[in-house]
Amino acid sequence: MSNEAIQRLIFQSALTLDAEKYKAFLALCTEDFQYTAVTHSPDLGMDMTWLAHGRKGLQDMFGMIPQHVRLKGKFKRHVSVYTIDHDEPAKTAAVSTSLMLIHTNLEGVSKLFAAAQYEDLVDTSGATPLLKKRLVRLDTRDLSPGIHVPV
Amino acid sequence: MSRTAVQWLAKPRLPDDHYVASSIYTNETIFQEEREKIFAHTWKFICHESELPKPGDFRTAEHVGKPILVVRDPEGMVQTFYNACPHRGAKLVHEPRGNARNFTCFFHLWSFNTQGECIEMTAPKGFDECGLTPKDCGLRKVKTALKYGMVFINLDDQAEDFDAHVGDIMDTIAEPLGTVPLEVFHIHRVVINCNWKQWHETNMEAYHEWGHVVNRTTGIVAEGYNDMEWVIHPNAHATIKPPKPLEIKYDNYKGFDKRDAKPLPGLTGSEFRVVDLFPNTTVILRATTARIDTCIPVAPGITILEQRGLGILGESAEDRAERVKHHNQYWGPMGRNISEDVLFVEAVNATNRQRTSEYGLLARRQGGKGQDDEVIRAYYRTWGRIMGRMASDPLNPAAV
Repeated sequence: MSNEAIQRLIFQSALTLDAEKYKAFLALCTEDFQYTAVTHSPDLGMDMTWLAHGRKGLQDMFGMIPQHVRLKGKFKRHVSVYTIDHDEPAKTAAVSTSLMLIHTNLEGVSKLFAAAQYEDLVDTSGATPLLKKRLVRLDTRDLSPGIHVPV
Repeated sequence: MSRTAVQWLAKPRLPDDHYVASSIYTNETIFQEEREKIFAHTWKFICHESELPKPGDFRTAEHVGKPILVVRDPEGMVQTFYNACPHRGAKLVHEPRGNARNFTCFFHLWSFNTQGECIEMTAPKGFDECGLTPKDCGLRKVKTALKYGMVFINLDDQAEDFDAHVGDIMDTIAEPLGTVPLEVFHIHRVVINCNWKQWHETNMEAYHEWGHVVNRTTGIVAEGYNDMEWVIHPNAHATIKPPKPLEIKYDNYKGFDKRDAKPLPGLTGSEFRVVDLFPNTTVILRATTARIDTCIPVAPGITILEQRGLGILGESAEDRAERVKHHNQYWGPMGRNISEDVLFVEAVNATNRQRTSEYGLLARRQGGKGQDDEVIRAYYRTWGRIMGRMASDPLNPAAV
């Protein structure tokens, strides 16, 4: 599996989430995909899990999003793939990606909403790479006013 | 029918306590007065004792703009001090948490033990001529009380005892919070463009549950929801007393499940309880998990919400994961509810500024049950008594 194909997967995951095309996002994921968003609490001295879902949980969550009161505007995920480490026997690759989540409100004002790191495990056993696990390590803890969708 | 400017600004034709003027949220004088009259004299939740499990463990916080240091002393007592060196006033401890036998100010290296005694003045001979000794230079102690693991402080040395202040209003959370040791697993803060009271109002009033799709589908439909009776303490603390445990339909919302497996002690697997403490602390129990809210007023229209989630200390990783999941379904910055609440209060604040909205109505009456606004009316009657102002006409000195 080429690094270019893996990079394209990460970019596509950002583009589909930006566009809120959740079926297209899930099409980039394995059946046993796990999504977890964590951040470290200096107050507690430990990591906190803020969102954790398997594929089914994400599907249910995506289905309910239109019924929620949400922050108006749109999000852009700016991703930079830093490292790709292949595990040939396991047919996986560990991918580390920097994420800047930018929110643009209805007046066109853009602000950095969150800084984070994607730690992805990519399944490279098939013809195209698929996301098997995504661990989001949030640097930002004030996600004002909060977010209903995966970072 | 829509209204003219005069009609819009006219006082509502309602009893005085059935509405509030928006200036209670926006006026700078009122905000400063709240700090002096309310926050400097009432009990304030500061942290959970699980954040200080061992002697020497400390937490820093802020209350009324004052840096606060909470520490567990060698005898296991939780002590609270101003986080300020008595020498020149430098902030003494800068980390949010840690463990220390003593605290040494980084400015001139004076040291203090966990009981607030000054144990070392650098180059002390220089103070001999003035007769200044360590025993004159202890930290400023702050009155502290523990209740069901919650640590409360009061800046007023003469304040009434905490138990007398809250009466029996917290009894409903005694078993869930006080039977087995709990642990904070979640804490987050968010800066909200709202007045601190607007957040607490949202925690008190059940009527806004219509705005949350989660609550519409799981809570309002619960049997007995409209029969839950509000119990209101004269100091404006409140709780609900349903005729039988309020059975929330947690699995009514797609993707949520029942919570029967590991409820907190004394709760059913679908239960909901709430305690609101004047002026700005709320405890919410949702079967398996607990949330404690408090907020830090920064300016009339800026508030820092601080929210904690709790589970059972020492539980298995699997049980903790399940409890965290339940917590995160409603709460936390990626939960389904909290961001909606933030958007609600910011929307109110947006129109309160510049007097676009002159009044907020607290006019629901349901016999003291369900979505009755009496809990907020009682809150503002107490607020008015302390402030010497009427919430419906706060800038009129004659209206008290």
